[in-house]
Amino acid sequence: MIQEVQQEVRLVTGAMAALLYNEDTSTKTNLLNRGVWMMKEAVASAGMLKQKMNNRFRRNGIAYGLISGLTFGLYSTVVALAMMKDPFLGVVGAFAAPIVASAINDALAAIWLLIWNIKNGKIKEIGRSLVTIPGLMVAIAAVFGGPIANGAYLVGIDMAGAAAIPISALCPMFGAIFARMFLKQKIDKRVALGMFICVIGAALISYVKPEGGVDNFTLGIIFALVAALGWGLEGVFATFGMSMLDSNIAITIREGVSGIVYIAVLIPIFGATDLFASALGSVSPMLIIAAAALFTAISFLTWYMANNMVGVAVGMSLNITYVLWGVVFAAIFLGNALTPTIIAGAIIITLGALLVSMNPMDFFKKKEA
Amino acid sequence: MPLLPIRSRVLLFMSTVQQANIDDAMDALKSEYGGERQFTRANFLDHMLSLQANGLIDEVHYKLDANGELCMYYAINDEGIRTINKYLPKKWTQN
Repeated sequence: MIQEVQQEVRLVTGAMAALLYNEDTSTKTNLLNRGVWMMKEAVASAGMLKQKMNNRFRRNGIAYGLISGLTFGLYSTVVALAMMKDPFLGVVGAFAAPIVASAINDALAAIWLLIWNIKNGKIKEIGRSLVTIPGLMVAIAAVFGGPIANGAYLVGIDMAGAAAIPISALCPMFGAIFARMFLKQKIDKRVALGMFICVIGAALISYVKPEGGVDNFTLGIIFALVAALGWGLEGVFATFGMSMLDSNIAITIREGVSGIVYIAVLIPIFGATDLFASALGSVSPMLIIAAAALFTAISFLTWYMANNMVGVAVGMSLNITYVLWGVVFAAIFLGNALTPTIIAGAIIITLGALLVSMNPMDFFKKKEA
Repeated sequence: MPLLPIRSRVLLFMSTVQQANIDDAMDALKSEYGGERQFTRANFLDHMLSLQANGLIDEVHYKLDANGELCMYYAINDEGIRTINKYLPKKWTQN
């Protein structure tokens, strides 16, 4: 971006130099006038370059936000796909398979991110960050967002199918409520209306149980709600920590802490150690989860990049489009039944979540230079 | 003393000057982070833009420098100062 701007500036200054030296300027006045004119031109072109840079920055931010939503939708589907393979298939108990899958997913995502950070010479930043308050906040946020929310999300998808995905997107609503409680942020009319729309969408999805094939539908919906609560809390804690750390580092800490807590705490608690061991030894599901982990890493990386480029509100709303992608991918790759109520509910919740996270006018308003 | 995370350090540096551009920040922090591969102009631009997007510093003006490059100047704001005092280790903020 900067190089292109530099090149354009060089072109402009080059043209000005050509004017100055090649043209026959006979009088001093003429030269002076030309000088003033050129200065004005230079100021104007600096402004244009700045505007161009700002526009490009914003466009890229929006693109990253959309990529984060798309890849999170892919992640959800790909993990669910892995859980349909041996050794996950036919595992007794609702929790073991999703927990083992998430543990491997988050640990692998952390490894992908570690490789990325080593490549960029940022590896020392991880230790530095963990001994500061912002770093610790990110680690606490990781526990809510990872083992609690993400675990519940996958249990929800496992039980209720695609319907769990839009329910989990109630997280900005809970985020707004927690921000009201802990950060004393006000809930204005727009946010309240968005929350109301979210609840209608959620009620629509939960009320009509899809026919056949989906066991424990209601319980799955409840787990998806737990996921939304956890992600809402993660948002509140992460707000404390993220702004002062490199987002690459914050995400690595997040995925690393999450993976470690899964493996060290949740897997032993839920007696899933044997499943964990046999999953690690099976090539096919491991490859699928490695792909899912790559999507996770890309999703979080681009999400936080977007947050830092276009603000958390817009970034969060673009990320939330994972609901639509997730439902579509689940229908395509998992053969999940897409009832009209799930589609309508997904669209309603997406719209409500958008309204909670941002003022729709902000999308069209150009940012001041 | 162990180093701070670099983005926090950039913010702390901004609290010690009226305003600064990317080169000012890089010059000031060269003795601490200069040997690391992450010490690049692109990363410093990223730090500044992110701190700005998070509302901790403001862009005060910009111009074309002698090389014809776009050069932005930033200044810390009240929220940035509050964040530093609240979240950074006291040993860093007291001197």
